[in-house]
Amino acid sequence: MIEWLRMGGYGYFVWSSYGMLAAAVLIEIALLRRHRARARTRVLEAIEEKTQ
Amino acid sequence: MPGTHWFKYSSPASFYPLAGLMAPWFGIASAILTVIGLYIGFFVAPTDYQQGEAYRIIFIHVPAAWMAMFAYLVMAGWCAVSLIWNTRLSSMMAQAIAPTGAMFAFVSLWTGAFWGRPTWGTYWVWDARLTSTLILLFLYLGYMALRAAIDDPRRADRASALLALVGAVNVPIIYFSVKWWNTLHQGASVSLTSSPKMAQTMLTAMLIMAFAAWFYTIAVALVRVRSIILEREAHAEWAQRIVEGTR
Repeated sequence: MIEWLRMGGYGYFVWSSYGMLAAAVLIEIALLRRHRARARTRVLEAIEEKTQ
Repeated sequence: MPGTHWFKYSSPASFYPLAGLMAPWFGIASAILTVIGLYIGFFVAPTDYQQGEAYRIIFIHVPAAWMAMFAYLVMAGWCAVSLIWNTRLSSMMAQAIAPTGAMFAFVSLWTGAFWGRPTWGTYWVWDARLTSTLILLFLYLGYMALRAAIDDPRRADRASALLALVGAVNVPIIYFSVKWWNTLHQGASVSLTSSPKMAQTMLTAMLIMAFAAWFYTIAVALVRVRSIILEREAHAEWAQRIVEGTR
């Protein structure tokens, strides 16, 4: 396992690449969720404006 | 399908539920393809005789680079549709694709740098392929910044669409840069006119990962466009009914 993780001495380069992709995807998913919540809040504000 | 009125889906109100139905399927397909692609890439594909294990970065670098270019063309296509037919959903689709395209452009530059260091001896050179890909990232960022800087959404649609269309000229420059100029970057990994220059298992893993990147982009763009539709249609009765129904 350790040998596999070392990637023949290139582990730092290989895992830095895959790690960045994983981080980018996780950040994008978190931003999507935040965007969704913001959009819902905007609609709820519009509903409140209408009822006032 | 006969009898299906596809044009009705150009309306945000009709497209919103359709996007909600499609997004999970594309997301699941992307996850399955990623697992298969990584399994083949790490456990089936052989070690490269020249680059050793470092070449395994190819399974994310090439799909990310392809996706960054392809997403830009799709975004520019939606921008052209929005300018010609003045359709709101087209602008929203372009807006939804941009962040994911930028993410893939960044990932392709990052993974390229970490592949370049062990193979070329440097993280970065001002090579035509690398520089034009960096310009692609700046075009995405410029598109998003321009949209964000204009308060009126319709004006933002038009201004950003123009920028996206002008920037589309950069995509063929990226693609042909390795042919037009003497670059440090290697030539095309896959060509329709010549046989592949890599082992079949390597090619299979790379193509599966490319499809995974496609499906991921479609899934994320569909989820994002739903939020954009809700934001921009916040005063529409149908949007308010949907949000109230899920409160």
